[in-house]
Amino acid sequence: MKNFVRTIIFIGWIMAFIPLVGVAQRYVTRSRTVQLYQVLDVSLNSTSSVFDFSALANYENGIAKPGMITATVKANVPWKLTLTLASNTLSPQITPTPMPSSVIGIKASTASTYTPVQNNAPFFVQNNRGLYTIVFDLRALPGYQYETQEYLGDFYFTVSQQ
Amino acid sequence: MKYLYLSILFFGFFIRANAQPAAPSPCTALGTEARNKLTVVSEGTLNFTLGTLNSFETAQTYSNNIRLNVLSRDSKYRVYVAAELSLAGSPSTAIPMANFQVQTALVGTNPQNRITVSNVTLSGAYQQFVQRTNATNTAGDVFDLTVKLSGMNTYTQAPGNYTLKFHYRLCHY
Repeated sequence: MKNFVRTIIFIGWIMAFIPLVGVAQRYVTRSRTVQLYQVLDVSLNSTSSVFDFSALANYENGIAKPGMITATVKANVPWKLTLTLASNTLSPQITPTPMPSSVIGIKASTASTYTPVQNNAPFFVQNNRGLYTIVFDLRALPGYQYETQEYLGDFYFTVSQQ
Repeated sequence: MKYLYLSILFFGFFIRANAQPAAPSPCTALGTEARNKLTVVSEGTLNFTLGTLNSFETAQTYSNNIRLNVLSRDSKYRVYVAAELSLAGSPSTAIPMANFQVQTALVGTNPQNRITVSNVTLSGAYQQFVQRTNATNTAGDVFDLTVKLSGMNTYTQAPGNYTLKFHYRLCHY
């Protein structure tokens, strides 16, 4: 049995060695390292930035702007896109009744309910790595309690790693 | 029994150390090694680095990344390339092999009408990128290979280092 195993090993060596010699100079291999660094990027497109309350129906029902903002996220790590504001109150802030930013709601176009825009509980969407285009619907519903005025708010979309 | 273990260890090591794609067909090996061989003359960058958003968005070209010399004194020949990709660290999504393209340029004043070069999109199987219809002189033929990396703007691969291993094979036909 021992001699049999020895014979098998010897034949194996011979069979393995002969082809190796045959291709040694006719086969070469080289390696390269592909280094991927972290990518986190967001860009925005907006169809409009104005809610124009010029009719009674606007006050009654609010104004909805489907697809008002489109964000493109490029990330090779799991990501989170967060919406914050310069202030929880729209400008001008010195008025008898300052308008809170939460009169504006936002949702992904695939979602059903709006989330009030505010810093206390920021609206966010998140997903795994990849290239994403996310369409957001916005709605303004201030009601009647604010004086005639032009109100401004700065929205900040920030992408970060989860 | 110990011989059996040694045998298994040996064959396992041999297969691991010499793993390469299945040989193309036909692939004969005529003549001596001194007269018929494939040699790496020089190499360019060893690192393909994607460090900016733009480098993911646009195709990256690594010009003249490797220079090969083919000496084939005893027969007409073909040269093939294959590749494999491995990831270090935790499991992740591999870079598709089809994202890599090898572009071949014949260097010098070799008989152009006898040599055909082609660009190939890499895969795990050997693909022909050079063919010569007669034997070479004593100097052999020289080829510069440029590697192009594209299609990285899906962002589906995690950050980290990936090892791309090229296999080059000279065959007589």
